[in-house]
Amino acid sequence: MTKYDKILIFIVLIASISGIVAVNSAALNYNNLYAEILINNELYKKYTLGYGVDETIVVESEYGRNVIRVDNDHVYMQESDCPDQICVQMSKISEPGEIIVCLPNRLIIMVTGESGSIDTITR
Amino acid sequence: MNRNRKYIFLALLTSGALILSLIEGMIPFPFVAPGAKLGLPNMITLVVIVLFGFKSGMTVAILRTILFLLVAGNVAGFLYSLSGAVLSTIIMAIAYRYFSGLFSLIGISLFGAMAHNTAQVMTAALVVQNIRILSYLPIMYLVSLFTGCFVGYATIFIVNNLQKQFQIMKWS
Repeated sequence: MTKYDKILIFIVLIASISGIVAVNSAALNYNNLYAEILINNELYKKYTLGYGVDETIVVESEYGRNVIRVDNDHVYMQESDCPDQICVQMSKISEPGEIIVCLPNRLIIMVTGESGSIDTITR
Repeated sequence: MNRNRKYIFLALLTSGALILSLIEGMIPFPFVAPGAKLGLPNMITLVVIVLFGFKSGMTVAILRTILFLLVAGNVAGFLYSLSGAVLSTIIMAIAYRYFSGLFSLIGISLFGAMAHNTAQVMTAALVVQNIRILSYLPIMYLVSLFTGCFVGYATIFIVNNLQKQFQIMKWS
C-alpha cells in the first residue's frame, strides 16, 4: 500500500461520510410536516411546520372559539372556551401522528408527514 | 506466451470469475447497505488487466456477465452488472496504465469498486427514472472502501503467484 493509496482511502472516506450526512439532512427536508386543523372532521386549515413559522390562529366556528399556536416545529392549543380545557392541557405536538383534540368544539389538530423514503433495486 | 496458452488462461480465469460471482451471490453481506456485494469477480478483471491488458480484461468482464446471466437466470440484474463491469474495467485499465506509479493494486481496485457502484446506481436511476436514487451512492462508496481494499489485497497475491507461474512456463 503506497502513500497515495492512503490518501485516496482518506479522501473517499471523508467524501462518502459527508455525502451521507448531506443526503440525510436533505431527506429531512423532503420529509415535510404539516399541521392540519379539522373542524367537525373537515379540513379547516393546513400549515407547513418548520421554516420558522410563527402564527396564532383564532378559530371561531359554530361550536366554539379556539386559539391555536403554531410555533416553528410544534403546535399547541393556547386557549379554548370549552368547559373541560383538556385540549389546552395537552402537550405540544410535533411528530407525525400526534394529535390534539378538543371534543366539545369538535376540533382536531394533527401533525401529518410525507415520507421521503427511497426504494432501490440493485443487484 | 503464445496465443493458445493465453486463450486457455483467459478461459480459465473467466470460468473462475463466473464461479466467484455465483459464490458471491450466496454470501449474505453483513452490512447496512442492501444490494452491496463483495465484488469478488472484480478481482479476476483486475488480474487480467494487469497480466494481459485492457482488451482481454474487457472481454473477460463482458463474458463473465453474460455467462452469469445464463447460469443464474437473473435477467433483471443483467443491465446493472454489465454496466458496472464495463465501467469498472475501463476505469481500472486507465488507472493501471497511467497511475500505477502512484497507486498500488489496492488503490486501483478501489477505483474499480467505486466505478462499479457508480455505474450500477446510474443505471438504476435511468431504469426507474428517478434521480433520487443517486443519494444511495455515498453509502455504496463507504462500503466499497472495505470491499475494494479486500479485493486489492487478494489481487496482489494472485498476480504474484501467476507471474511466478508464467516464469516457470517460460523456462519449461
